[in-house]
Amino acid sequence: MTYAVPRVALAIARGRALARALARALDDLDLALDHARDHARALARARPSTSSTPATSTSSTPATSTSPAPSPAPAPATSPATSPTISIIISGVVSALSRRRRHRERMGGRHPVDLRGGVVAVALRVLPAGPRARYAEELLDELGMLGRWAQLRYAAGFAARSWELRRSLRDAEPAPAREP
Amino acid sequence: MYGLEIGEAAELPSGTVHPILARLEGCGWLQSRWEEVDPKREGRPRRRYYQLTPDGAEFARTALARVHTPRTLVNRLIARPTGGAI
Repeated sequence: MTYAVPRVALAIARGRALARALARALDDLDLALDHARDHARALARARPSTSSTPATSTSSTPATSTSPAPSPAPAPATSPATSPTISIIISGVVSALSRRRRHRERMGGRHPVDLRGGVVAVALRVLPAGPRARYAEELLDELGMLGRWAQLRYAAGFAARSWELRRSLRDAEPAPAREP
Repeated sequence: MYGLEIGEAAELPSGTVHPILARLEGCGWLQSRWEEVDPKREGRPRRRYYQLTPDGAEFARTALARVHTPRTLVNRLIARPTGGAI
């Protein structure tokens, strides 16, 4: 009897940890599926434009035209085993660094890393593809009204709770979330 | 009102307002629209304005009335029939 209480408490704690891990795994899976859908959509858009040119030129040579031209798949940013959340953070950092490089090339001088841009990129990558553009515009407008450090604080807060926003948007999916 | 303005008025930290607004919008208690300006001419992105729907306003009024009546629970307990089996 004396050992029963700690055992029950331990079992409850393990159950909670398991539930948390499962919820995290489901979130990661959901996000990975979302990104896979994004890639599939991008491929579908790219395929007609790449296949239209060879289709007309190779119509006289059926031997070569029967095999479909392999469309170049986008190179994954990280290994497939990497968690989607980590890959999002990496892609955000990479996009911030590439923005900085582009800016430096344009301006011909040194420029600090646009940390705010990286944070915003990470936050937006977490959101579903549909309403992403809407929240990007909304967030950029709101950031424009704040000072430099307030911008960073605001963007960090938005990024920290972007999963919550994602869940809210997924729950309210039938509602019209996208607009021109 | 727009997101930042709502957050400041509600004294909520950034990032907490938008999930709430998304849920309320999903319930149909809130509607949002883009500001009707040309972003290029204004030199800034468009603003997203939120407004309560008639249903949302009604629910908000009810919820506020409930919050401002702390004795509701006590009243409910008093109103419960006493004596006899449950």
